[in-house]
Amino acid sequence: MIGGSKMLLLKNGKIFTMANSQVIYGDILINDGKIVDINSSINEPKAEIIDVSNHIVTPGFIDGHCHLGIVESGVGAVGNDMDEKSNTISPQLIVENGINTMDSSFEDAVKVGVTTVSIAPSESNVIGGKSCVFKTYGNNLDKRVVKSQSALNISIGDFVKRLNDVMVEMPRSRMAITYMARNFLQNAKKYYDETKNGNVDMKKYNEKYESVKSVFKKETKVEVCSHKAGFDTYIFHRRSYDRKSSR
Amino acid sequence: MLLLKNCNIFDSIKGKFFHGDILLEDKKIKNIRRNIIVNDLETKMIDIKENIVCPGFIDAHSHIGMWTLNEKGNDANECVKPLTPALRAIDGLNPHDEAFKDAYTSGITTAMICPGSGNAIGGQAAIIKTFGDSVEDMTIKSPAAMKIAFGENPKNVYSAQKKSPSSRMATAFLIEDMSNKAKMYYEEEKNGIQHEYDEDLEAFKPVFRGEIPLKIHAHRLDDIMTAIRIAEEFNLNYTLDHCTEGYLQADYIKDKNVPIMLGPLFSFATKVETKNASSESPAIFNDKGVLISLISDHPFTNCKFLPLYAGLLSRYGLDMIDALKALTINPAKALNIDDRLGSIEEGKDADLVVFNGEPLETTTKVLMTIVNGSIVYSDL
Repeated sequence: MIGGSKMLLLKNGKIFTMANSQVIYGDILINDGKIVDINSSINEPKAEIIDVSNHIVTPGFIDGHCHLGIVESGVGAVGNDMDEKSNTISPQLIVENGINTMDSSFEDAVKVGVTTVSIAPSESNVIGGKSCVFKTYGNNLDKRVVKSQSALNISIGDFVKRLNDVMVEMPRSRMAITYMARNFLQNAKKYYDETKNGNVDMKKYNEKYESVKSVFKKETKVEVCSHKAGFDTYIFHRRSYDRKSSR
Repeated sequence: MLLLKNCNIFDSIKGKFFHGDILLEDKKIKNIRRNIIVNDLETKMIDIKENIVCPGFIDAHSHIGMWTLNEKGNDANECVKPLTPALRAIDGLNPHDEAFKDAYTSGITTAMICPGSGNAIGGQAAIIKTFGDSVEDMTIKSPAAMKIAFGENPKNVYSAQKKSPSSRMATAFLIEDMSNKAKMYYEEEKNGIQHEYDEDLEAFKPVFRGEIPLKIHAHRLDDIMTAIRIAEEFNLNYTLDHCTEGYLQADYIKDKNVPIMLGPLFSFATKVETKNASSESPAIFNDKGVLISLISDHPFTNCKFLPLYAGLLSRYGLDMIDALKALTINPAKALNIDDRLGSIEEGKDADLVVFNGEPLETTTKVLMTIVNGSIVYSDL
């Protein structure tokens, strides 16, 4: 049976727990979506048994940065919901609002062992929005979300440059990319400090600054997409704002 | 002269390995047998220590040296008009592209480079070696094929410009129309009838003379069928490149008895016409006896991953020996260069690759690459 089983017992596996370097030979009992027991021999008459003798069992693989479902396989331009090109500072965007759970890439992921992914918005904006951690299997989008707004995506590099010679706009260089990111974060921090002890009135309300409050509360990480020298710039950012960060 | 002692040699024709020494002289393979002894101070001897030696790999569909995926890095598409048969791939070739080093250090010593698929008729492909200082030095044959393209690419390019072709109908019409004119031009000339020089129609002469094939870009099954229909109408030689949905009608395509070039299969389906790409397609065609070659379409799959791609196909039913053939003797036959390349035989080009394990295994490394009898890379 695929999906939906209440109790499942995997028998006689070679288990790579990955919690340490040990390998366990034995059984895994699963109940209601969770691992409830790992032992050399488990008996549970209520469980459906699958014999995995001579096979290796690992935790589901996790892809730490991808765009599954937000850019769909075999659909072309209409399947791209990660490139909001209208404004390069777009922290208010949330990636779950563009994920198509029916994208065939999820099926491909499940087949090769990838069960959890971190889905990021496009790297073509200085601030692209917020990524989420997501399961690759399941019908219901909400149930598949492991962690919403898990990271704010900042991108430093060639992808971000607006090199259209007809519509000349910032950023066209790494100087401007970092300037824009820094400028936004400085203003957002100021807004956060000013508003954290009281209500915001309508005159001051800013949806972009609101959307990154969780970053300053250290609930949301910053994910920096950078391929080369940009990494130094990111270190600089971290020192300036003292936030959790990844990549 | 260069003498390689104690090789485990891949015979790409029989699909077997055998032990022996290989003697190279004047860019060619001079002798292959057990225990070659040369009493000559000029000859350099290298002990290969029973490592595997393969013929240099051939990437039969690539844009290496013509296209890098950065700003202004595309010299393979001249999308100002849809029919540009007079353009030559070698004129867009940068011999100093860093990708060439990736190619020969991963075992690829020969590539067919071709114009892109933005135009219905893109121009003339060439066969080159991946090591050399200049275009002249590297080129084996140019022109070596006429590149034509069906499906999404030409219609997307020109519909955005509000020009024809904006539909598959128009792409087929434009290709057919130019083929008609080119045929008339060719026949007039053959019959001694004077006409004005036309650079585009001139470029088609080797196609009608049967000297070079059409190199046909087609993904969707109906595009493949349209391509076959037009090529047969003019009785032209052709290869089916990408041929992504071809496996859905593998018997029909087998009966055409033409080479097919498959790939890239491990990349994301950015287009609708590639959504049915199947990693099982090479095995399906190979089992039916179709001449398959595996291609990188560099830069769309980095050419250095072509051997890896071939190896991973074993997961989808393609035997390792058949995958090796699809990188050596098969593309040599498909490109009509099997008199010079594609196998380790006396008289052929001295293009050899030494591996420290099974050539297509993920953990295997290239120990040495030899192009035209010279060691161009060594990690021995």
